[in-house]
Formats: sequence, C-alpha cells, structure tokens
Amino acid sequence: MFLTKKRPILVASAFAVMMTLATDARAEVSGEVAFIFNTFSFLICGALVMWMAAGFSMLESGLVRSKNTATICLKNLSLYCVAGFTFYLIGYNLMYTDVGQFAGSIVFFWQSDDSAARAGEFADATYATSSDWYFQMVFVATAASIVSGTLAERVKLWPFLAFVTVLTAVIYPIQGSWVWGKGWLFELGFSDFAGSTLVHSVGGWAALTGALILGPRLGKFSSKGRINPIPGNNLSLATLGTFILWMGWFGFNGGSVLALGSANAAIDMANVFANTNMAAVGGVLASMAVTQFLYKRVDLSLALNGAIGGLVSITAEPLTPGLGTAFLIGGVGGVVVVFAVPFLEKCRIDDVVGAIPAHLACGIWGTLAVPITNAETSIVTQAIGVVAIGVFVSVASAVVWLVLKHTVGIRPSERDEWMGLDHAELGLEVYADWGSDPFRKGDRKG
Amino acid sequence: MKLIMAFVKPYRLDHVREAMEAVGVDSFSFTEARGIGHHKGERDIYRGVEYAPSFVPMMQIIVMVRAEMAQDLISAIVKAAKSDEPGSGKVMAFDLSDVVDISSGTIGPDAIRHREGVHS
Repeated sequence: MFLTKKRPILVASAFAVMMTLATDARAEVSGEVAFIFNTFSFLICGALVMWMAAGFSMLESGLVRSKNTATICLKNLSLYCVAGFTFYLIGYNLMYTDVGQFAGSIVFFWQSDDSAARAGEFADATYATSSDWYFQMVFVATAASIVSGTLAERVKLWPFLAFVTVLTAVIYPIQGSWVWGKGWLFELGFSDFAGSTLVHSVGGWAALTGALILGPRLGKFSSKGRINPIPGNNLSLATLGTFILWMGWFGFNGGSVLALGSANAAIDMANVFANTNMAAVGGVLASMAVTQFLYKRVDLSLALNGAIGGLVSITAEPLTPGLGTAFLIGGVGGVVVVFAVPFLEKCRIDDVVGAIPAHLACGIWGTLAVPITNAETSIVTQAIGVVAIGVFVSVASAVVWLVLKHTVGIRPSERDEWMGLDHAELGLEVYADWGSDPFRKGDRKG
Repeated sequence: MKLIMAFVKPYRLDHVREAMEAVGVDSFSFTEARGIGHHKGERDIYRGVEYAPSFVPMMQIIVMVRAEMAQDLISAIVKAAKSDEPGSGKVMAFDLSDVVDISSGTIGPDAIRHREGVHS
C-alpha cells in the first residue's frame, strides 16, 4: 500500500522544500561550474575562429588567378602556424603579462598555470589558462592573414613570412596590450570588444603599408592610367570562404564575451551571435543595393566583401546594439566597402581581395560607431585609439617592409610573376591541364 | 600583305604588344601554346623527385600587316621578345593572298588597318 503511516510526512516535507526553493533567490552557479563553462566557451569559440583560417584560404584562393592558387594556400597555412608559434614564444606575455602603459613583459615561452583551479580554488581562477591562450592565439593569426590577401600574387613567400613573424611577435602584441592588456588606451576608456581596431585594422594597416611598398601586380595599372581588372579564378571558393568566415565570426565576437558561467553571460553571448549575423546581413544587402544602383548590376565579389565589411563593422561593439542597429551598422560597412574598393584602385593601390576596404576602412567605422550604442565610450577616445594604433602599426610595418625590400627583396622577378608563383616558387601547378611530366595528360590525379 | 607569326615567352607578351603599338600595329591575336624546341626547359623537383617538363609554354602571336610594314614589325618583335633565357622564340612571315574584313566587306590591303601617322 503506497500511503503508509509515514508517507504523508515525507510528502509534506518534500512539498515544503519545493515551496522554499521556488521562492528562494536564484541559486548561484558554483565556481567550478562557471570555470567549466567559461573554459568551454573559449575552446569552442576559439575553434570557430581557427576555422576562419580555412575561410581566408578559400576566399583568397578564389580571388587570385589559378597560377598563384597553391602559393596563397601555402601562405595562409604557414602564417597561421607562424602566428601560433610566436604567440607561444613571446606574443602572449608581451600582450597580457604584467602590462605597463605600453607593453607587457618580454618573457619567452608562455606556460599555462592552473594550480589554483587544480586545487579546487575557483575564486581567482575562472577559466583554464590554456583556453585563454588558445582563444587569443587564433585572433593574432586572423590579423596576420588579412595581409596575405592584399599582397597576393606578387610577394615572395619567405620575406612575407618574415614580416608575419614581426607582426605577430611584436607589433600585434604591443598594440593589443594597450587595450585588452589594460594598458594606456584601456585606461583612457577606449573600447574594442572583439577587435575592429586591434585585429582587423591592424591587419589592414599592415596590408596597406605592404601594398604601397611592394607595388601593384604587373599589368594591373598601365603607365597611361588605365586600370585593368584581374578577375579571380573561382568565385565558388570565394563564396565558400566568405561563409566560413561568417560562421567563424560567431566565435570571434561571441567568445569575446569572455565568459559563459552565468545566465547573464549566456544572454550576452546570444545577443552577440544575433547581432553579428545581422551585421553581415546588412553588409551584403547594402552592398547589393548600392552596386545595383551605381552599376546597374550586382557584383558577387563586392557582395562577399560587403558581408566581411559588415562583420568587421560590428566587431567593435556586438553586444550593446539591438538587432536593427546592428543591421544598420553592418549596412554602412557594406556601403563603405563598395566605395573604398574603386577608390583604392584610383589611388593605384592594388588590393587583390578588397581586404583594406573590408578590414581597415570598416574597422575604423566600426570602432568610431561604438559610442552610438555604448554610452560609456566617447567618439574622441575611440578616434584617439584608431589614430594611435594606426600610426604605430603603419610605421612599424613600413620599417619592416622597407628593411626586407632593401635586403632580401620582397618581389619575385618579372618572369616569375608572369609565370605564376606556383610555378616559380613551388614548382607546382594546381590545375595541371597539360601533359608535362610528372602529370600525364588526362590523368591529372594519377 | 603578310601574316607574321611569332612564338614568344609569355612574360614578354606585354613588351611585344607595346613595341608593336609603337610601329603602328595595334591589332593582333594570340593563343597560349605549348611546345618543345632545342632548349628543353629547366629541370625541377616535385615532392622530392626531379623531372624535366615535356613542354614549355609560349605565346603564339598572329598579326596581319601590309607588306611595307612587315620588316619594321619583325624587327620590333625580335627586339621586344628577347629575354635573358635561352629559347626566346621565333618570328616567321607568310605571304597573304587574300584578306577580307567581315564587318565592312572590304577586300585586300585596305582591310588591314594600322594606326595613322606612325609609319611613313
């Protein structure tokens, strides 16, 4: 029989406990659970950002000529690795450890330290230290890969990697320490949530100085002032790359909430995901509308650039806007891209993939747009940050490019550029259509 | 009328084009060709194995000129197509018996138009 003499007391007690819990304040997530979720967020979001390396590779592959495709793939593969190693070698400590006003510490070979968490003390340890290193590492890799797109088809591999080494080991960490490392710009009140300036503009400034010092591709600009289009070889790859970047951006902005150990953090991350997507949407639609109006035609490559431009624009502040504002911020980014691309060409600056419009121009816009929705910032401090980091990165990059240019040289010979860097630097043909050994005719994969 | 055919190294194509324009010829066509000549092409390494390519790429330029232009054009092409490497190519001339312009129906030397004022 279910209802014995003791059962009613048990039932009543259970009911009383349930009533108590129902009227209690919300129970706090334990320190260990918060630690787990925060760490999880860094790891998953970091993996999404790593996936952006594939996005950049495919986008750039699709927008170069086939004779340079393998080279651009190799550049993307190798720069991701250089960035990953230098961030271990020196970058993380220079950016985050014992940061003064202008830089962190020169301590080689960063090491994880989870002794507190391992001992069960979660008061000061809110995430696994390797997860933070991992998450920040993929960001510096992103900044570096912006440069490879602009300079594609006419920069030599090893000098390019030499530049990437200095960019990722020194330039990026120092300016990053000024903000995320809580240096002087952070104290001034400058705000850059996920890196419109710290990542995208940094890549953009490095790319711009590189493009100016390296020069344009042969045949891009004629001596009589003619601008020649050099179309990409595979827009399907370019589209795939853009969608991959778009998806990776959820990790890029979402993970920059830097927490998932509470409902508030989860809500913030959800809002960031939604705003990030909406900004890309605005960028694409605005780009399509403007190109249709101006050129009576929609251009896929500009629409793809518009998506990236929208994403970059929201990256400085993806948390505080509402969805509508995020759409508009991204939309302005899309418009900026459509005008910036031909403007660069008129200035005879050869940017193969439109990285400078999408990352630098929209990075500046996104950073200056932060005060629109974030009352704790001001346009003046935002502008100070844009200019300070712009000057620092441009000057430092220019020094490196000039040293490389006048020592080992950064351009291939005219012959090598014409033949294609795949042939000249790698001895490879990605699309081997002819019967030259060892590719037998009609048996390309054999 | 003459048909001038030239095989030139691909990276000399822009120089050849400018040289032809300088003597008044701005109409021509070209195809990408592969071939093998006396110079076999440099040996290379692919995944650790050395090989010599069977064929090397060249640009095959075809241009029709009035007979009096032919010598100047050939000299211009030879000068512009010369490269530092061996095997810079060859230029040859054919006699053309008939040329017809499809758009206008013009027959003979008038069907070939050069830029005015350059060739005396």
